[in-house]
Amino acid sequence: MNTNAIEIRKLVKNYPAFTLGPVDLTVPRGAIYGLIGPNGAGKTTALDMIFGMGRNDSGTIRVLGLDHRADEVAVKQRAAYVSPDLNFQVWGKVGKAIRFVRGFYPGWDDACCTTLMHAFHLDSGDKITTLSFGAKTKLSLLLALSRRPEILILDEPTTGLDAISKQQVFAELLKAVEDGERTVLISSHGLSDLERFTDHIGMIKNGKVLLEGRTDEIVDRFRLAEFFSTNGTTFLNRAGLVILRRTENRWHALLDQNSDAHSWLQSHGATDLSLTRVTLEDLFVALAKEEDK
Amino acid sequence: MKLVIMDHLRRWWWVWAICIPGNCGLVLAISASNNKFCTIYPVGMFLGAMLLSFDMQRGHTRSILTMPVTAKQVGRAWWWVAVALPVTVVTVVTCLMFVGFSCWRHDWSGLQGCVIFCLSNFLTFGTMFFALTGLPRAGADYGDLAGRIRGCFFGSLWGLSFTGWLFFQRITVSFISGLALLLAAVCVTILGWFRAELLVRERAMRLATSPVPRTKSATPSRSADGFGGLAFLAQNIFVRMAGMGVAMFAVFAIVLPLINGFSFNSAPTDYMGDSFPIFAFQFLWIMTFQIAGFTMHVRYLRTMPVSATKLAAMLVVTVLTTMLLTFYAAMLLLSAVFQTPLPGPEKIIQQGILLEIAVATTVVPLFIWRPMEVYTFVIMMLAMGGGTFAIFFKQSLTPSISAAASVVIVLGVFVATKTLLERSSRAYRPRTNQFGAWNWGGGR
Repeated sequence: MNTNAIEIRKLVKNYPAFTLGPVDLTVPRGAIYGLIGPNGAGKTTALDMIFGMGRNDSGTIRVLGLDHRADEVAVKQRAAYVSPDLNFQVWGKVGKAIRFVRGFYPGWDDACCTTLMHAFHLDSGDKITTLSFGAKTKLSLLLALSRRPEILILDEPTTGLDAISKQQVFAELLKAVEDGERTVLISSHGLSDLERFTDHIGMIKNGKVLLEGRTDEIVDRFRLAEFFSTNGTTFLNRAGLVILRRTENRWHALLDQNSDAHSWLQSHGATDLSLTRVTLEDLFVALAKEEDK
Repeated sequence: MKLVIMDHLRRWWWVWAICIPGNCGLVLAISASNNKFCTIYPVGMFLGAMLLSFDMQRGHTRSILTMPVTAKQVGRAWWWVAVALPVTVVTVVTCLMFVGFSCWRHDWSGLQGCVIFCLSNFLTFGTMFFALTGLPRAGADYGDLAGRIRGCFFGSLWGLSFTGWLFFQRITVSFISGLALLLAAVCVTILGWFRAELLVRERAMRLATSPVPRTKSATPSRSADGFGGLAFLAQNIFVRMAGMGVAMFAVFAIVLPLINGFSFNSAPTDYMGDSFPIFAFQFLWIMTFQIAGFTMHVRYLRTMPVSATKLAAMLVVTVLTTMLLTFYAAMLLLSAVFQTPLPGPEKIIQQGILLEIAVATTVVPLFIWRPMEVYTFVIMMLAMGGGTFAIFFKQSLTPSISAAASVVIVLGVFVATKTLLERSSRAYRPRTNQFGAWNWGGGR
């Protein structure tokens, strides 16, 4: 059995003003994978490609071992997509949207649907247009979870949600993956949430993947370094070292512990070097800045 | 107010620059070929309230209200650009053309047509703006009966503005009918002036959302019961399209005998004559516009376990079947009303109706490709206009060629829809609807 839920290899999609890729992403089965990146990085484009919304110019996408294009219907039977961009207004009422979606899935879980409707304070008679933004996101999640998908793909699901709704959404997601069989791929700007809930992350910027791996390993791999230069040395970015800011002779940098940056700094006149743990947000900002330079 | 008017003209000058000279060119060309001053009327569909609706679609109402202007000022400025200005320009230009043409040909017999054209333009611009002030925002909650009736009334006015010109073209002006037209135009124009502020306020409002948690209804909703999936989608498309189509043909069946008895030249029994395919063509297109709402959630449709081929086939076949069935029902209705025998398939093909139905299906890939916005509208109007003119040449097609061409067009539409669903990224961009509703997601 394939141990990866999603494998994206050398994916390229060209637009007149933007090129996604080549992208390589691996989402292990049973993982909660966070895809992070600044606005316009290509996250939604990458996720859209999985569902055939636009055709990739080259590369492959395999979902549960199936080709996303050749086995399109089978992939969509086993994967669900949640995004605030998905529009259900045409169905008028919550119940009608449920009726429409349920028709596609023989394994639709009515009990789960009822439970989620209760948890999300939704009623099948509610008019979709009068639902709040958060309630619409919850409806989208309800429609996805009730079909018991093996893979759940969420594009910015917590955008516009209040803290309580956000917690509710993540609680339902955790419940959905507690059996270890279900995989979640989530793209979000809520980095603190992702750090808490995901076990894998991929960082994407300007259409390229900057890094990918287990969240704890990645966060553990990097450190925020603070040091002083005594002899007027100017430190520049190099492999494993991203200079964040400088105040006279006091320096702040992001340091990759898997590189020789630590010893290099010491050998080049950095003194009083102290290392502190990074948050995912620190890491994201630092790497995004480095890429801009 | 002046700044709002100038802003509108600065952004939409190019539409004016196409429409006014275009209209002049067509009028002069047709008049020259007929040796009589003749007018045509599609210009109102491109200017006035239609341009405002595209501004609303882009969320202009909310942003303009953050400027130091009142809703009343904005509303009145919109009335000027949507009613007063186009009516004045079209009237002056038409009168100048009439005088110029009549002096050239020494023939003033087109005066009646010129007066009717100016009056019907006045009426249409006024009606479209008035209709816009009460048109339900797509997505707004007009749940109660009064709200629905109000929405239907203004929606019908908006729809009639598009087909009304076909009636006006054939009317024979008399003092009474001219006065009636003028009075109607003045009334809707004045009403539009007073409702302009309301239009701005309503469009700037976000849709009211329900507080959570809500009070549950005592009787559980049964809206989730029944079959779902693609069949449910097809059923919904059918109901909306057929409902609109039957309503239009029914109005046609009621209005045509009335007007025939009043001032039309043609005999009431001649409903399958030359004018019918033109009406039918417009009706079929308006029917197909009903799928615009469904194509707004094409992103979601593509996440369902359905191949692009099946989805494309379902959309095209549903639209095609609905038009065929609705048309057949309309034939039954019209035959009963006019007490004439039901026209056979050969007559229908000969009149180019099958070809018209096939051409109207091109709306499917068009709406998959792009949302209902200004460029889509221009494409549709060009296609509708071109199709209407093409109807005049239908006699040159034999029924077999006409039928074969229809099949080829439908197959082409299917291939285009499938290709767009599979390959186009544009098809999946978040969409807003035309009348300024606040949609969910990135379309804002």
